[in-house]
Amino acid sequence: MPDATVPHERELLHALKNQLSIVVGFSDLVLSETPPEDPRHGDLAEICKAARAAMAIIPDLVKQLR
Amino acid sequence: MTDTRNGLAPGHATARILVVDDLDANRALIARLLAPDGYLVSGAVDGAQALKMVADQQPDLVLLDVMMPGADGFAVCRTLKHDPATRLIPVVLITSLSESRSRIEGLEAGADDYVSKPVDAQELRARVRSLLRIKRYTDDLDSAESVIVSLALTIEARDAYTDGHCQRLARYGVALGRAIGCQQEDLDALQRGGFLHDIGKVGIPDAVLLKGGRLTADEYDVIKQHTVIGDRLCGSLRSLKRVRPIIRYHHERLDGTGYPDGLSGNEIPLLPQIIGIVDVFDALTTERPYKRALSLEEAARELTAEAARGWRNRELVDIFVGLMCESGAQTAGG
Repeated sequence: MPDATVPHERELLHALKNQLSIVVGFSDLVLSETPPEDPRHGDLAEICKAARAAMAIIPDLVKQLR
Repeated sequence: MTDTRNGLAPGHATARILVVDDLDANRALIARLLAPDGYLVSGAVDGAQALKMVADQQPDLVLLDVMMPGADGFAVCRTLKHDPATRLIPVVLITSLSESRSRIEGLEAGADDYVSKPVDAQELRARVRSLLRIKRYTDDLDSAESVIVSLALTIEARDAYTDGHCQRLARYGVALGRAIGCQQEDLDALQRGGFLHDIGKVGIPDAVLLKGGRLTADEYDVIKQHTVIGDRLCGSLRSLKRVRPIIRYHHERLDGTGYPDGLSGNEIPLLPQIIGIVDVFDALTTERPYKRALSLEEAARELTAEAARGWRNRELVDIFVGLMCESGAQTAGG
């Protein structure tokens, strides 16, 4: 039965979102503590941007489960 | 410049915050985000540990992850908000769920606020600050009320013959209120009213209050003033709004011969009528300097006679006497 897998997949997506929110949280934090003139500032900003973009995909994945 | 750490005025204790999340990294992240405000932050890994830590540490605020193995955040929130000892602790749910259904479930569980993942540092800090401010007001109200209750017990302690009177009145009053289907807020008022009904006796001189012999008419007039004094004493406390009528009117009688205002019939609110009945019952069934303790049957007869005389509501008296007979039979039975 394909339906039986749905709750499990939903939980996996929640776990994924949870982990990504940790990446976003800590990279935001480090970015805010890094002066703009620091050469790593741009790299950190890329990490934040990509993690947010990954999180933004999750609602679409959840919709596909329905 | 004043110290604005925690957004508190100087002299306030550092607020304690409990962060509940099964992921170490999430707890560490929240602690880092709150670090600039200098709170004491502790962590729990699941619902069971959270409930134990809340009981042990009495935090000022709980940040609660919704998705946890075992009891989820909604269940923990419901438990905290159901227990009178913890229901005033603000709870903020942290969730990666964005559906409005979950928000509704969170509000129904009694959560005070909601934060979505990824948590925005400024938003989190602002919400925590604002809830801690409210928590401090409720703490202050709470302590104002405990001062009043302590005062009531001190007054009771002046007179050895009334020992335990307040506790019994609260118990009897709530039992009668429950039997006639009173709402919870009325039951709360009866509980407090049991303790506070004679608070105004603080303003009555010992020479009159503790006089062993018969009171003169003037002395009796002084005693009567305890209802008005008590009402005035609690006047500024909003949390005692429903209790004040009990304090002022518990010596009124349905036929208008009571005091202090000589109200009659329906002019006397229900809650003071209840405390009036249980107050008389307790006075009758305990020993006083001028009389022995009456038996349950004798006290029931006296209360019924007062109802027949038009002083008390017959129906309330009958229900209360029934309750007392029931619990008396239970006690006698084992």
